[in-house]
Amino acid sequence: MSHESQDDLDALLFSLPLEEAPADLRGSILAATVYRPAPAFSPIDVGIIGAFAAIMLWFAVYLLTGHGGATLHWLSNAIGVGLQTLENPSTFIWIALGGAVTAWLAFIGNFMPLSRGVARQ
Amino acid sequence: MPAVLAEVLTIDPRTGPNDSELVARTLVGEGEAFADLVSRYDRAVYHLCYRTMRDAEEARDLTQEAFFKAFRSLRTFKPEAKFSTWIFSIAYHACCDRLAKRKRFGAEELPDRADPGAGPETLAIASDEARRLHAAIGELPEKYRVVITLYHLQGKQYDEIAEVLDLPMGTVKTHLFRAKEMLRKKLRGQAMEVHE
Repeated sequence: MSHESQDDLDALLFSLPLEEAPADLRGSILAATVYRPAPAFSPIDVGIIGAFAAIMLWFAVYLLTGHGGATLHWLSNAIGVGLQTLENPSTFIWIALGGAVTAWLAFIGNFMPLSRGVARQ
Repeated sequence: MPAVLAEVLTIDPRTGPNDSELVARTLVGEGEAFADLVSRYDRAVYHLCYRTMRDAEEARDLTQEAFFKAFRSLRTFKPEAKFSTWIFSIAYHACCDRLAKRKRFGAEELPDRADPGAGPETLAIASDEARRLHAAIGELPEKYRVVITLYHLQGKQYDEIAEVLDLPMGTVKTHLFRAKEMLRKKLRGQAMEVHE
């Protein structure tokens, strides 16, 4: 063949076989994509855990560098204020009232008739 | 569809689901649908990577990388687009990144490092002409080699070649014309050597 004409060269080009892919290529692609085991943590979980770990690390360093006294004092004050609040009977009344309303709403919700749109689905 | 692609498809898209359907099914969690897409295009993508990089090991890596990237960004695939053009484009850009890295580290274009297990390929190129054409394509500069490879894969769909390469259609046609001229010259030269 002289390859002088466009068609001859095209015909020869299109008749070339494709490279033979390695035998395990398809398997390795699928293993890296659809058959890849799901990660134990989602990116959001990793972010939350990372932020929490960073705060804990910062807190540990903060305590170890001599700021422990002031922090513990602040923490004990905060706990003290919390306990004082709980000693007040009106706090218990408000907590009980809030709990009762939540329980009532949850109970009523189970017996509420479905709205038309939801029922049709 | 160009004959060369039709030849390697294990699922006939004329009778089986089309690529967009397979993408949609993958997006709702059907892994088998993506496996079908891989089986349709892995060989063609490998061919493109191999022709661009001229290295079997890198071609394998880049094929895997291209499918991995495609899988991760499947939601960005537009249903009206062609999956083949999209995956070739991802693969080609991965090859360009790798070539740029190669150049940054001062390496010249590598000579062919044939896959030691590529016996069937060697056997497949049985005819002398095909072998000579194969060698001549390998000698082309990268920009012409890749245009010829995509022309081989996608046929005369210049707009799709232009989309994969991110080049104007006129440039693609010019590159293709020059690549064919160079191939013709090389083949003519080889033929004269053989006759002498």
